[in-house]
Amino acid sequence: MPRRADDDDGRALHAVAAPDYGASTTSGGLAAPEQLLQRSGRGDNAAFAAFYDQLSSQVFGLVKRVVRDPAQAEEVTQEVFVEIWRLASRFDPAKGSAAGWACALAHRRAVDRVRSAQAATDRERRVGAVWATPEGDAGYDEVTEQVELRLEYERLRRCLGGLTDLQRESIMLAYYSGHTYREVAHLLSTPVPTVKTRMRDGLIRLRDCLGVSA
Amino acid sequence: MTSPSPEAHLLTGAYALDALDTRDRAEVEAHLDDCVTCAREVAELRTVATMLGEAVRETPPPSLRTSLLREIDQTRQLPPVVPGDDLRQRRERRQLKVVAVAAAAAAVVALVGLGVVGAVSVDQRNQLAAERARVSDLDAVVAAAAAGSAQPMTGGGTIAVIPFGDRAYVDVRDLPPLPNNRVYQLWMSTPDGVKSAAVVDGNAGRATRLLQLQRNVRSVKVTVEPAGGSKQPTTPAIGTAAVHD
Repeated sequence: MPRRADDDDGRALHAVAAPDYGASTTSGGLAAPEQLLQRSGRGDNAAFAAFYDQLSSQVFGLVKRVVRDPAQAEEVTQEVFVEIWRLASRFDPAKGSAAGWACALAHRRAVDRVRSAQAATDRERRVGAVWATPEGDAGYDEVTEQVELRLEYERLRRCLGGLTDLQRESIMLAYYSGHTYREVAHLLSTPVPTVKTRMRDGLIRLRDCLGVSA
Repeated sequence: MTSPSPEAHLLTGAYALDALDTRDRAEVEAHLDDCVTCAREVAELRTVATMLGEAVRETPPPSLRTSLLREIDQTRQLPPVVPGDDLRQRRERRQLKVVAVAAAAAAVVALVGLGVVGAVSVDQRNQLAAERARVSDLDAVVAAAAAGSAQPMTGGGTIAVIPFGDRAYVDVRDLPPLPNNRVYQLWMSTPDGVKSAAVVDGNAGRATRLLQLQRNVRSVKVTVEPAGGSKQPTTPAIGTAAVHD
């Protein structure tokens, strides 16, 4: 979830720019996800359905990328959107975009899902210890694997290309495969503090390349 | 103001990527409350992460939409957070402070050593600010300690218990939402049986409680019960945390 920015100016600006939710926002026009979310917070199912239509491919694609299994990805995606529905009245556009909020929720849920599955597998392995595999084998292929980015994200691909291999692999393994930075360090045979730093400076380089500002 | 922690600051990237374990995450979140620069950096890096997420978009099957819309039809929404309506949160914070003072005495000594508490100011306002910073540090200590000893529960969420003297601080977090007619219930378990310790709203997500421990309490357990709670557990425990003497 986005953190509180304590930005009173932003809130005031938003209040001025706040659209009219009345009859003028017809189902034919494409309302911004922020408006749809605010209307959802007032119990408007139709607005929520429209919100889903705008963001479902983004959420589902991200979740599926992390959990891999399509059935589980559907399950997690549904959980994420139910959570958004429950929390809709607490969404504050002054603190960030609705897409960013949904994406953050989705990623957190997806990562929680793969980690709890991993914990269960580890428990089984400790108990059974029959088909124990050497540590670190499981994720090795992921290091070299290419993430298929969609064509329209040429700029992102270029910016990713501008990172060092270690920065890029650290970020990819953490974000798309849901690994912790300690796991990433193990997978890349790199000291933990180095991975920690590469994730941060890699993201900062991406931020500057993509022209992101808070 | 507390001084920025270089350790937590370096973790902003990993935090934005959800690459932290529960313990590190709690530490960073506590730090972000105090560090405006870090909070802004996290917001920016999260935006970058969102863009990474967008790049792998994929249309879900239409059946998902149908099933979701059916579910939200039966799902109650949480009320908005109204300013001034945070009585419960404040009460919880107060409890936390009590615990913090008791459980983290060593940390206080350390902070005094660092001059955070010891910096005596003539100006009352400065004293207040120092006091706030101290409480916020202690909150962070307790949150981190609880996160460090958290046990996963069946179905999701974690439970942590920090005993001190004849009381115990219990922190259950990341609780999956329950149907409206169900609640979470905490129990104190002794060799002679269990006794209800607290009922937690099925949609609370997180709860902290200060329990007065009776003699022989060996562990704190969590079950899912019908709304209003039960006299005795009616379902198997989904989580247990030992109470060490």
